[in-house]
Amino acid sequence: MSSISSKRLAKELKEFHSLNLVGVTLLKADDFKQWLVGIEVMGESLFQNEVFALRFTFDSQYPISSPEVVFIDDGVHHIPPHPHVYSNGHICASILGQEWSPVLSVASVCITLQSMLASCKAKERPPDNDRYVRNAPLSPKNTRFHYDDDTV
Amino acid sequence: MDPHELADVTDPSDFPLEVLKKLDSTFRCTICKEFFEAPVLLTQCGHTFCSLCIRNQLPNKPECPLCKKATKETHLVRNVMFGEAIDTWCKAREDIESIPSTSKRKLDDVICIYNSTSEAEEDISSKPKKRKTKEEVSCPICFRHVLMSSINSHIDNGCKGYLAREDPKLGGSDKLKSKAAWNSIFKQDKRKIYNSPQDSEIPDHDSKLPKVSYGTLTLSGLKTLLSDFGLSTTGDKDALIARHERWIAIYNANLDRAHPKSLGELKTRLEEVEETVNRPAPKRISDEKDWTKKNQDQFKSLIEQAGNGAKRKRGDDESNNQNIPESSSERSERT
Ligand SMILES: [Zn+2]
Ligand SMILES: [Zn+2]
Ligand SMILES: [Zn+2]
Repeated sequence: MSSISSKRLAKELKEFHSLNLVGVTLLKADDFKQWLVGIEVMGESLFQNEVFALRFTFDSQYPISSPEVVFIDDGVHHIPPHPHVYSNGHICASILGQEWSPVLSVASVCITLQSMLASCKAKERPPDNDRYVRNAPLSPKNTRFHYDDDTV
Repeated sequence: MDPHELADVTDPSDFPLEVLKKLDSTFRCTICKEFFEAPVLLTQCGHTFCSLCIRNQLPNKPECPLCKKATKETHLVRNVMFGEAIDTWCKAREDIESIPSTSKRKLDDVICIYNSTSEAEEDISSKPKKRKTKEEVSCPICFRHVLMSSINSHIDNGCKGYLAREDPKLGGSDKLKSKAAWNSIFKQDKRKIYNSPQDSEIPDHDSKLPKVSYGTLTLSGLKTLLSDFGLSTTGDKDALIARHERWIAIYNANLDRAHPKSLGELKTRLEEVEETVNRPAPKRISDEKDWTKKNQDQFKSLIEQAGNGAKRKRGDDESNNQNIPESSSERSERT
């Protein structure tokens, strides 16, 4: 029996194609453990013509448990300077933490992060970046971020 | 094997018609994206999920995953009529899928023909002619070849009768053969499952298991709870608690089926779930590898297609975006 997460991700893969999201590209999806997705902000923004790479890591409880999502720096892509993105790639977004819902998907996470980048007003790191990165756990899922309601 | 498992690699995008895509997706759970299995209604908001999906989710968060309205397990009610509608759709879908892909592609054209010929229809039916291909259409519902002159009556009769000719793909012998194959699988399954008399017991609809507060329970108390159902008692206390919680979810979700499965089948399901959960993360299971291998071509083309796509306008995507909360942070903290 394949796990529930594999079945669900197989469907998401198909859905990804039919959704045809602008500026969201599947870079690598060889299995149902880890995917790489390229995201680009369309239209006018501070990140015009820049493509970033998101790494999704799924466990067997996905989608009941949230995916681990980080920006990666692989030489080609770099980590966007953004007030909610730490220099180690960890992202502070409530839908990846306490606001995760199993009805969300890779596509909906990408759309949210795209709009988070699109609405960026200053290319800068979170104020506590250095302290956070020094002590950060390997997976951002082990971080309890505090979210405020400042509109991104 | 139930119809839900047979249909497990299907997807709404299998259909060429937008309205059929929509219809197909309304019969799918937004958590697992499969056809609803034992659908339950959240009485506080009216949304529906598979019983097991929502029972697995509620301990994490006591709210509807779609609309965030507060809810709890006692608010779940079997969605009986919807379950019947899904079963019917799953059966109809098998017929729809067994037609050759060319006629699927032609469907949109066929519908156009069908719409534009309704005036001329009476004329044709009054003087029956020899069956010619051009007078046949694929029924938009069952996809069988139907005389154009009879398409209305065919649809009114629930897709019975008025067939122009038997489609070889829908022919009896193949269907019988595959039915026999399935029956033999069923029988094998039953022989395996029903070896212990107690396992053949079908639980009663109203026998929901209560939640247990494990904090006050001793290890031997836990073991008794598990062995009462003939479940394994190996592992440490945490493993036993996890097993019992899973069992309660599987057991109670089963009671929301139209036809609850036997205890033996539920035990098999529990073992399968434990097997996938306890698997070390980086190691891939063999059948998943097989799956990937079998679907590698499709996988690749999907990725390519997904990669090529940048045609849609932003506005189209807004419906996907609506319910997604956004957030930000200024501080963070390690746990
Ligand atoms: Zn479900
Ligand atoms: Zn709801
Ligand atoms: Zn029909």
